[in-house]
Amino acid sequence: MNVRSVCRTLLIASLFALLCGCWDVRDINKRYLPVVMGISEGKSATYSIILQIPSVSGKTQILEQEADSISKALDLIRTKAEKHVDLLHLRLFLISERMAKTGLDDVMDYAIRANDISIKGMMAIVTGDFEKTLHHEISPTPEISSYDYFSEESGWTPNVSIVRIWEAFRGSQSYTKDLAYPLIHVGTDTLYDFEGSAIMRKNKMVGALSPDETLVYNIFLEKYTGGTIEAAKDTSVIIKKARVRHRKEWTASGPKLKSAIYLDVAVSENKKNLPNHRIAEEIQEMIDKKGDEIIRKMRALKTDLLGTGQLFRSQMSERQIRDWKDVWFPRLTFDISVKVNIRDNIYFKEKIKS
Amino acid sequence: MNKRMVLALFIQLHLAAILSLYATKILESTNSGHWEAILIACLLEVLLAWLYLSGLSAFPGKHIGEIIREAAGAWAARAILLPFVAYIFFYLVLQNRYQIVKINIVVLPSTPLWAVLLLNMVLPFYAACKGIHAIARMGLALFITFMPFVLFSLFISYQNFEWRNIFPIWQPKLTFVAEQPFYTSLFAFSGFLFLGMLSLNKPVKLRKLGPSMLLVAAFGFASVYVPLLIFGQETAIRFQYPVTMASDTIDLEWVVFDWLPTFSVVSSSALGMIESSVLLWMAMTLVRKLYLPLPDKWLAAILSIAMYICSMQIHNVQTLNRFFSMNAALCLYSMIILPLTLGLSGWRKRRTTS
Amino acid sequence: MNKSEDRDWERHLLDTFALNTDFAAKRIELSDQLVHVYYFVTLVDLPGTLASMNQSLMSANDGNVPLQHLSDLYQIDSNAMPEELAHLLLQGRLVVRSPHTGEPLIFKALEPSISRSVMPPENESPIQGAIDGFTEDLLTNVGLLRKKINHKDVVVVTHAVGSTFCREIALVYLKGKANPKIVQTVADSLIRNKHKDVRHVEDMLSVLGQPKISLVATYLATELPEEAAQNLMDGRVVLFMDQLPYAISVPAILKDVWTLKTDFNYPFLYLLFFRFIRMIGIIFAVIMPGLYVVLNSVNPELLRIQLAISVAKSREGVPYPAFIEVLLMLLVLEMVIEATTRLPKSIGPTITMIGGIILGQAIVQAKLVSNLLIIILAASTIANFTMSGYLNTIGIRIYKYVVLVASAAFGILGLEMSVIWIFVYFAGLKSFTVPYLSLSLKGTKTDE
Repeated sequence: MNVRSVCRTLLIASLFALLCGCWDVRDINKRYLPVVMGISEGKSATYSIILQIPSVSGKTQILEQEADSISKALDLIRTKAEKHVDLLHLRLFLISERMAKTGLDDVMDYAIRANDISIKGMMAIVTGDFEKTLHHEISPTPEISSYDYFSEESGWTPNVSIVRIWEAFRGSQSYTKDLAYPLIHVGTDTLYDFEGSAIMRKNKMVGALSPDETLVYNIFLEKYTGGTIEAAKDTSVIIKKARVRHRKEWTASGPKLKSAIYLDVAVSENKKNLPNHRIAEEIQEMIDKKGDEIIRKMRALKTDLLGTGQLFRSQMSERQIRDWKDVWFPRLTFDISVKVNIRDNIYFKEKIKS
Repeated sequence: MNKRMVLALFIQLHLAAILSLYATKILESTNSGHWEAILIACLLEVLLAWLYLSGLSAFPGKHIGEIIREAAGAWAARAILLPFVAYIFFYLVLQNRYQIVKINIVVLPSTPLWAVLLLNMVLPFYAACKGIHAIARMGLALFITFMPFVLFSLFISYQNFEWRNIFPIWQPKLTFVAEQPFYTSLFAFSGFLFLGMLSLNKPVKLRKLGPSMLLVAAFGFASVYVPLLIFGQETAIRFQYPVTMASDTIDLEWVVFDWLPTFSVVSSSALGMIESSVLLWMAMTLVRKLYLPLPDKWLAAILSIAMYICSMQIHNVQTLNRFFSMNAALCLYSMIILPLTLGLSGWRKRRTTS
Repeated sequence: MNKSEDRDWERHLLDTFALNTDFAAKRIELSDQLVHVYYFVTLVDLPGTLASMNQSLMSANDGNVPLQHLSDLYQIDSNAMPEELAHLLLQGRLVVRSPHTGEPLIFKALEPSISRSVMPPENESPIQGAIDGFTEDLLTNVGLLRKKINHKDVVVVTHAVGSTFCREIALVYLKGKANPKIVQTVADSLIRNKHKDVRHVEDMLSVLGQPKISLVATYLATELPEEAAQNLMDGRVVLFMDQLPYAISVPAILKDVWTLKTDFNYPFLYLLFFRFIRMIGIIFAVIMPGLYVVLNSVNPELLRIQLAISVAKSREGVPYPAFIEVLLMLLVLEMVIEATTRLPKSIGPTITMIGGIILGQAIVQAKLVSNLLIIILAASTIANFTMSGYLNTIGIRIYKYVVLVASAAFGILGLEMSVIWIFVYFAGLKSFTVPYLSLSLKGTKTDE
């Protein structure tokens, strides 16, 4: 009896399984696997969607469609494509600057909501000619290289900010934090040129940071490895290690924040044989200036770009957290100072004379 | 059946519930101080489990059906246990529905729900027919094979933790006590009830259960705090499957596979399978002992087909959520009345014998 | 004592074996007495046997030993006597009519050399272990085993089973180590099913009350006395069948899929390494074909994008769905395995070459299947044979189709569910009161 019941279960299960085989499964070679999605405002409709699809032969296939909603546009692309379009491997969202300035609420909503898009995909904003950037071809499989461009394991450098979709969404929802998106431009000898970062408030682009400022931004958020800083007067250093210490205080007049950045650097270029303490001073001065510039922008644009609100979360009540951006952030007194420690001069000794 | 198997089942039953709806409900029930809600639930379980086990230890080798029948008579037992059986059955229905919807969204978007549900019906049926000893052995085997996946999918995203999201940490007013979702979330800690069905000759001691309970509590905390630390309360509250979403935030090159939420779904559905098997077996045993003396196989078949039909009748997520909250009443009844009844009859028996 | 007047049993024997030309009934002189002997020419070396008998009769007590004293002390049931005698004759005994009572006397006879001597095993290749293998002869086998395990508690019980076919089965266990419940079950079923004919191992399993259809073998068969000895030590019951050069140990548990008893001849670290490799092998063998289908057709999102593109590239132009592709290739592979296992050693390599190189290469070039699939299937087939025991590999070979079908239908979920299913199956499986899903036979401890 036992044996028979086992057999029967098996038989039924396999029968059903065979039946189930009939539904909609497509083999991988019958799918398009786009890696990059470009979203800009269309000429005749709200959105224009461009998909970059790496094809087997090494060329890129580009599918474009305009429609009033993103899913509709994708639907139309699916209709005209000869294979099934699968967004499962979408890793990079490129958004036109104009679009970003009008607000990304619906893009974000779509990207998070869609169950075939991984929320670990990255976002970037394209300045200049959007179409040209997306049609730009340089290596046999540009999608993979554009993906690599942002990948922390391969082509990423600290001057580039990376933002994943979920981070972007979190930034847009958070009471105590804003974000900077990477800003890119069509490259000449490479795929993209890095233009700095777009400052976002909620889901709108309100300003931009230069690449140097982005570096400071990354240092402040403790996200960098081995970036190079050019100080003035022909010296440059490599950052080996950075720590940020915050001293925060909640006074009657409002929150007060003093952040100190400690940098361990190595001197990589020193044409004028400056002594180390001079180099350190120069770098401190430079970063101080950049930091002040960022703070100025933050105030002017009313965005908590550096996530200072996060730092105060432990001292705020639920209500204060909710009011952070409107009430408390404008009252914040914020100061960035930099301490540079020159760890070594790589193969050289420190020049003492002169 | 030895201690280790009982403990493994105990942990898995809790884990299955914790990984399903628990985090969502806790995040809904309060905006801050989530740990208080989790801790209170844990303490409640310890208290109730103590009562329950002390009752059980007076009746070695018997399960709750027999104990209550002995103490209060057949009809009283039927009446007292009816809500419990209903709770088990509806829980089975809802949990399966929840599972298949999640599977459909994350892993198998093109497979029809009925087919996935069929799979979720056949396996527990097969396991329930083999009896609790087989289920316990299987539980231990799956514990060893799938636990790594559970841990992996839960903690893989630790890189993205933003510890400051933990604040505000203190919630002095315990407002969640007045919230409906808190009571719904308690189902995750009803797992101790299955201990009463095992008819163990040497009932489990609460002291022996201690480490497992700690582990369960740790997982309870993890399932809530992992999404909370990554997304922050503001964002996490918007997600239907926060734990699964949290595992999608990370991009690891060394993992062979790309789409990490799959692991989360795979591990939680494996746990769900064990849970369903145990629940089905419990329902089957109680029904046979108290209401309808049919052979096991027939009862299991009837119950699983009923489960299948009921699950298919829940057409949308809103209804599912509503049913979950309705089932909370049955759950609370079972969690409170049964230990009380058992504790009382155990106490009475001890007094009469001594 | 009338020579022409045959006894009942003699007549019965003559009737039974009348058609056999190798059955002989002769009158010979044995220590100055004329006696009737019955035997099979093909099974008994008569001159040798007679010589040794004569010698024994002469040497002891001036040749005055009655013949009875030399004979086997068989308690022959007078009712069933003719049948039993026939069985004994078929086992190669010599039956002599007692010159005094007319009752049959049974003598152990020398065999003509039709049994092979103890040789290294044919189908198992022990590395760094004892290399003698079991032979067809039951007593030799038991002797080999006793030599390997010098223990006073080894118990050997011989049962003769079968009504038309007579087969001797020896049951060996180690008192104190073996679970008495297992021994009891095995012995009981042997006695209860005494009348059943046992021709093959399958018959014996049915005698032992094992399910007819079972995905995994509930016994272990080995050609190595060393393995069998270790099995005894582990508390198993070892069964020998006459004319079967294998020791069959029951019950088998899950752990046996990845353990070899000869592993203990190695340092512990190496042992762990071997077992780890075997476990990985099992996982690979079961999952790989299913995983290929999952990654190719149902859940391609699991592949990294770089890999996805190259997989898509390798599948470009393959007309079939991945499931059919895998199934087709798997069948071809199974046929190659099946064809090569029993071919003479001189032809085997040819098939391997045709199958492996020509077919493999051509099938890819003809775009019938993708490159990747060939790699995956080769890997899973190799992995399949890493596990211990030929019998276990077959179960895995079969089960991989279940995984394949489930994966084709439900993707990664189907893969997972089929793995769970096999655990449920194992959990429900009991061989000789021991749950299959246990790690040790001693006690009732049950683990993975």
